[in-house]
Amino acid sequence: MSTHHYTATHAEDDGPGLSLVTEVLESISDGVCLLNPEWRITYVNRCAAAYLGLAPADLIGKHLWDSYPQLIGTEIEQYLRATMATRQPRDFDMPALFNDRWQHVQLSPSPEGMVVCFRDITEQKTMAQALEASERRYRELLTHAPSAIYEIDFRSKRFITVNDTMCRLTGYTRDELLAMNPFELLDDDGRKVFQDRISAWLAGQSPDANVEYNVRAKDGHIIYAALDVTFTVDEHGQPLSTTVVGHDITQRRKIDEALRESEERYRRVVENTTAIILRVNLQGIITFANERALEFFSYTNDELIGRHAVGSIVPPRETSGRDLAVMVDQIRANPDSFHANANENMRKNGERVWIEWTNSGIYDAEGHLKEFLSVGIDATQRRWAEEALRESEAKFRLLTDMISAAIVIVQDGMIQYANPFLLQRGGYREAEVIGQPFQRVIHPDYHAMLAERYRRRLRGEPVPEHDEVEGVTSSGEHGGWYDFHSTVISYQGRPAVLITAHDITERKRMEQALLEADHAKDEFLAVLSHELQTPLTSMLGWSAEALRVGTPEMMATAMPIVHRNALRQKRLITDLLDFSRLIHHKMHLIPVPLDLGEQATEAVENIRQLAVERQLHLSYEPTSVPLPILTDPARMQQCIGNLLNNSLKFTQEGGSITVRCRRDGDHAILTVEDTGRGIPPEVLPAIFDVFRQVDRDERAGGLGLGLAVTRGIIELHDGSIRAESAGQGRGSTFTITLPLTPVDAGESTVYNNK
Amino acid sequence: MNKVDENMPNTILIIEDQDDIAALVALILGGEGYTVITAPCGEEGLRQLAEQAVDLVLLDLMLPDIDGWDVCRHMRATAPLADIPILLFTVRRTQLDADWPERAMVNGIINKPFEREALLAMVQATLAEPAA
Repeated sequence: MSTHHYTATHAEDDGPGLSLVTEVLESISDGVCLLNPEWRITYVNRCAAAYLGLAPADLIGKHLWDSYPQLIGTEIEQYLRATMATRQPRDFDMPALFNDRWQHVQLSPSPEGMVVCFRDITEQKTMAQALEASERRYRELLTHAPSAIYEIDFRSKRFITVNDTMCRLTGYTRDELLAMNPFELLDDDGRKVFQDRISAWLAGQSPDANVEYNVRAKDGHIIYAALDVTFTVDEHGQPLSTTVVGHDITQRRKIDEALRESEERYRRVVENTTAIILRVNLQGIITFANERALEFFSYTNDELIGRHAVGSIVPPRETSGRDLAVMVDQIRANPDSFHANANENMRKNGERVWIEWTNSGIYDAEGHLKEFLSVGIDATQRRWAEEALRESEAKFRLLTDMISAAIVIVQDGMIQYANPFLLQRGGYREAEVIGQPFQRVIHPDYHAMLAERYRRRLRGEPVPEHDEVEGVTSSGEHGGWYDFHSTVISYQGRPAVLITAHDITERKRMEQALLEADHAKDEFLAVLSHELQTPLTSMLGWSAEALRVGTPEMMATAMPIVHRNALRQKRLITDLLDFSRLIHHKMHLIPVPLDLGEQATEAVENIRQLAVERQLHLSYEPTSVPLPILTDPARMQQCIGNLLNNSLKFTQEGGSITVRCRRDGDHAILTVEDTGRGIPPEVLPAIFDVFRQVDRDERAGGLGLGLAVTRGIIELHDGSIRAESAGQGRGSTFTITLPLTPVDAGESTVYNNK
Repeated sequence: MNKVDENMPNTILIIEDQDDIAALVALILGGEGYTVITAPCGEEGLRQLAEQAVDLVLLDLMLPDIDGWDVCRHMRATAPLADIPILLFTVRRTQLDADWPERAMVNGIINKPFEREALLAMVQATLAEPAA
């Protein structure tokens, strides 16, 4: 502001001095104007005239307020009038009145009035304004910047300025910060790094921008900050202050770390996983293989990368015959549809291996399929195990299919498996039992027992190793006897009960038969006792009574009774002995050539008297053909006699007995047919079994040993005997078949039943 | 129905299919003053029981028509016959020695072959018993 200083003394110089002064005034770049007390312009230099836009001659003598009325009412008029009146100098800046430029105006009172000097300060003014705006922006920036900004005085180790963001980030108030040593905000590492940077900067090196520091906030938490630092130095080159712009990068740091961790994880997964990881591009070329994949397939990275999958790790054709080239094409076309896929693969040495793959597509930002990622697990072992399991299962099936025992697997009470034996035995279709409750195949009589067995097992109590149960057929009938054994197994990964049930139906039947046989023997013995005691009772009683009474009349009454009963007992004992000989293979026959017709005639004649007494019609129909047989005549009479006696016994008065003989090929046939009470169908098959047919009805004539003995004797003749009856009350027919003697057979043969 | 009058002879029914034995028992008991009637089978025995007063029944178990036990059951279930004492007259059978529920239906057992004196003693003792 004090560049030029005009004094009134210069203006007061007149004469030659004036001319020098005028020259100076005319040459300078400041405007100079003289005003007299009447506000007339007495002088303007060239610069002032240029400023006012007129020639000096046009300005001299002019009245200021008349010439420039726009000044009236402005601050300039006030300043001018004040200086003229008070004689006090004044200077001020004046915005452009006559153009767009700023002037610095200096008013100096003089004896002739007043000197007005003005100078163009437009440049100055613009720069100042710019500076001011800049400063204002800077302060605003400083205050409101998202970054922490602060200045530090190195000598006092104090903050010079801190902005709001700095306060906000660190949690300190401005005053707290200004009272602090700024370096306390940094940890040891941070202070060292800061010091290093100062040293580097002083050594003329350009420091790294954005070095990261850990800044401790008031509450102790760490703010990760990138600090951008500029230094100022004193004349000795010692650092004076530093301006720091700090960016909170905590968030970025966290993201970075998460990213790093994620990548690390990915890397670890890829490198250390036991999974085989491959990337294959759309052309089927392998673009990546992890260590495990290389190791597994026995390739080096260079060998494998860039090769087509098919032919390297994928055999063109699976052992099973599947075309894998086609499969790979399909995966390439749509990897996600093969998300889970198991196929055969191939090692470098050609060895086949099974891998379970998980395939997924890798897409670019536009959603176009770029590559596919295949993650595989070696399933070879498992596949083998599965095959072994299948084989084992097949063996189990084969075994259970073949075994003649019922095998059932029950899980949760439901039949999971039933072998063919059970199905066949019960007449089931598989669908009728699989998935059905176990009780489905057990006769209802045993449900309670099995339920109890199950409850006991659940309670941990011992259950019988074996139980006998009856099965049930598909139609609900008794389905045979089983020896039931159960054991807990694991079936398809879960506990189940394996039931093995041996078919003991035959055994049970035999046991039953034995029981019945025992019962029959008991019965036989009881009846035998009865049959022996009954005649004995008569013999003893009547003889004792005759002896006690002692009269001839009594004797005459008793003796026939005693004799009759003695004969009866003899017959019984004879039958018993014959039977005993037969079952002990001790019966011997002495056969001679005889004619069956003649034998029949003799037997019929032997009972004719009895038949007449009982009023039965006895007829014999002989044949004209000879029926030569080899037979023991006494035994043959016994046999035919037994049949005839049976007929006599069981045929009521008025009935008839018919005896016939005939030839049938090589055999002689004799039949005894009666109209008697017949034989019930259920008794018929056992009619010749002595221990079986003992029954009240059959017993009427004694033990029923006769038929058993008859059969034994006929069989000793290589013959056979059969009984027929239309049923109870409808008569019976007994037929004896004997081999005819060959024509040249004349010699006697001894038959025996050894 | 027990003997009502001490002077009236007791009537004894023998149900026995063996004629010779029935005749023997009839001879012995008749000789002792009892009135004896016989039946060769169960049906005939029941028919006679329905027709006349009987003081005692001698019953063979093995009858040609119906089981001796069925005769017992019928008698015990039929009001006028229920109290008539029954003496089982049978060949000793081992299974009868064991506990058999039918035993309660009869008043005694006479095993065949029998002793005359044993028969008479049993008959007299049974007739002397008060009605059950």
